[in-house]
Amino acid sequence: MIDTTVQEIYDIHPLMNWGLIIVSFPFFTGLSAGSFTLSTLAYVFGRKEYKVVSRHAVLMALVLLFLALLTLMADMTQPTRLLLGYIRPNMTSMFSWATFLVTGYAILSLIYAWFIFRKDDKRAKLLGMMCIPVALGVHADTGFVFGLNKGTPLWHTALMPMLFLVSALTSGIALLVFVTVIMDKFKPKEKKIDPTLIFSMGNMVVFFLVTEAFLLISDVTTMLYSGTDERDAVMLWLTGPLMVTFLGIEVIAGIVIPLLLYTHPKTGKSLLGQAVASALVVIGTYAMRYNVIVGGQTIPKTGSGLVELGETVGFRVYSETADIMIVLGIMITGAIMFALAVKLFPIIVDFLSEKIYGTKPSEQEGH
Amino acid sequence: MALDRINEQWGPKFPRPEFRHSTKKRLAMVIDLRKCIGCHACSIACKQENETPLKVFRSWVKQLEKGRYPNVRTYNLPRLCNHCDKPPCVIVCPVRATFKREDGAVLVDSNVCIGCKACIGACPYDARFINLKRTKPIIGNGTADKCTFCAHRVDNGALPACVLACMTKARTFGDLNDPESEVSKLVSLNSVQTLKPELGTDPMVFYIGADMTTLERVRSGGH
Repeated sequence: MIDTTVQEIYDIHPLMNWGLIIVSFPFFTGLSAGSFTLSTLAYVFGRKEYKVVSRHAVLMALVLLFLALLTLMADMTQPTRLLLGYIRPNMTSMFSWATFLVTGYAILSLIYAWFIFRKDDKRAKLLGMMCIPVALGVHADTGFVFGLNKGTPLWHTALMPMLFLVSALTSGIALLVFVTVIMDKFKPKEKKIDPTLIFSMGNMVVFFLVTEAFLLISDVTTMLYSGTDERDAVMLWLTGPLMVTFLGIEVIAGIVIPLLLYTHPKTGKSLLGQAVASALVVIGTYAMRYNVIVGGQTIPKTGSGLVELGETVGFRVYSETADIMIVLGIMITGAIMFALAVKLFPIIVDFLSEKIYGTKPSEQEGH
Repeated sequence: MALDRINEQWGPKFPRPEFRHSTKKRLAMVIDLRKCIGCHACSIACKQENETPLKVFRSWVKQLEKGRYPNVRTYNLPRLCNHCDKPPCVIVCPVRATFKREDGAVLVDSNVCIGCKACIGACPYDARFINLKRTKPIIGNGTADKCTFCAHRVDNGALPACVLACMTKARTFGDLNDPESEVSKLVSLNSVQTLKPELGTDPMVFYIGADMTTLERVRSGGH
C-alpha cells in the first residue's frame, strides 16, 4: 500500500517448521550423491586413475545416505510411521518419490560397493550405470520438494532442482577432495595418492562451482525483477537477516574464495590449498541449504513480520541449541562410521565372499 | 487384497477429483466482514472445541489498522483453513494422510500422518501446524493439524463452533452446491473475495467486504 500506514494489531505467527535438522537432510543427500557420482568415474566411465579414490568415495556415499535418513528420523514427529510411505504411496508427492528413490539408491549403491570391493569390475559397471540416475534423482527430488511449493516465492522456481543437483555434485566432490587429502596424510610414503589426481578433482569442483554461481545469479536476478513477494523473498538474502549466511558464507566463503584458491597457481597446486578450498565449498553448501530452507519460511505467507529460527517443532525440540546438538551428533556419528567403514568394510567383504565364493577378492590376481 | 485392508484400517482412500457445479455437497463458509467486530469469540470457541495447544490456532482473527489519526479504521479478517477445492496440501502428502472428503472438507488422518510437515510447507495460507497433542504410538509426538470445518459437529447436524459463537452472525456455513442454501445465496448476491485467488486453489471460504490490506501480507509496520 502506498501513502497509507498499515499497522498490525493482532495476527498469529507461524512457527518455523523445518529447522536445522531438515537443512542437514539435503546437505547429506547432496554430499552422498556427489561422492557417489565421482566413484562411478572409474567404474562406469572408464577413468581408471580414479579407482584409488572411488573405493572410499562409495563408502562415504553410503555413510552419508545413512546420516540423511537419521536426520529425517530426527525431524519427523512420528518416525515410527515411516513404513507407511511404502504402503500408501502418493504419486503426486515428491516426498513419496523420495521414499522409493532413497530406498533404491541405498540398495543399489550397497550392491555396487560390494562389487567394487569384490574387484568385479564388470558387475560394478552395470550397477553403477543403474545407480547414477537414481542417485541424481534422489537429489533433484529434494529440489522438487521445495521447488513445487507455489505458496513460497523463494522456493517456487524452476531452477531449484538444478541448483540442488549442481551444488550436490560440487559439495560431494569437494568433501571427497578434503577427505582424500586428510587420509593421505596418515598413509605411508609408498601408498600416497598421486597429487595430480586431487588437482583434477579440484578442477571438477571448479566447473560445478561456476555452474552453481551462474544458476544463483539467474535465480536472484529473476526474483529481483519479479513481483513484490519474490522481491521481498530475495531481499532477505541480499539485505535482510540472511545477508551474512548468503553473501558472507554462501557466496564469498563458499564460491568466490574457493574459486580463487583452486585457480591460483600457488594454492591450486598444493594439497593444503585444495583441502582448505574444499572445506570452504562444503561449508558454503550447508549455508546454501540453510538460506533456501530457512529463508523460504522466514517470510510468513499471510501474516506480518518475520518468522525466526529457534521455534521449530519436532522431536520435542523447541530450541535452536537442541537442533544444533542433534545435527552435530549426527555429523560426528558419520565421521566415526566412515572411519570404521574404511577399515572394516573390506574385511567384511573378504569374509563374506570367502564364505560364498570360496575366494578372497584381495587374493585375486591382477589387482 | 492386503492393500485394501491396510487402506481401510489406516484411513480413507485418496478421494476422487470433484468438479464444481456438481450435485454433490460442497461445504463452504461466507464471512461478512461488514458485520465482524473483531471480538475473537470465534478463536476462543475454536480453541475450546478442538483443544488446540498453546501457540497454535485453527481459527484466528487478523486485525489491522489503516490510516492516520483521525482518519483511521480497524480491519478484521477472521481466518481459518480455506478447505480449497484444489488443495495444494493434499497432493504433497507422502502417505495420503491428508485428503479431501466427498463434501469438500480437507481433513488430516492423525492415525496415518508421519509428521514430515510437507503439507505445512505447501499450504499458502499458514493454516496448518504441528499439534503435539495428536499422537498415538509409542515414539513420536504430534501430527499435522488444521481446521476441519468442525467435521465432528457438522456430521452430527450441528454448526461449526466458530459459526455458533459469532455474536454478529458474520459467519455463515452451508452447502455451496445447494442453490437454496444461505451460503450460495450470499456468494451469488454479493461481491466476494477469497485469499490468494491467483494460486488457483479455489478457496471455499469467501469474504464479503474484505480490504486488500487484510488479504495481503503486511509489508510495512507490524512487529
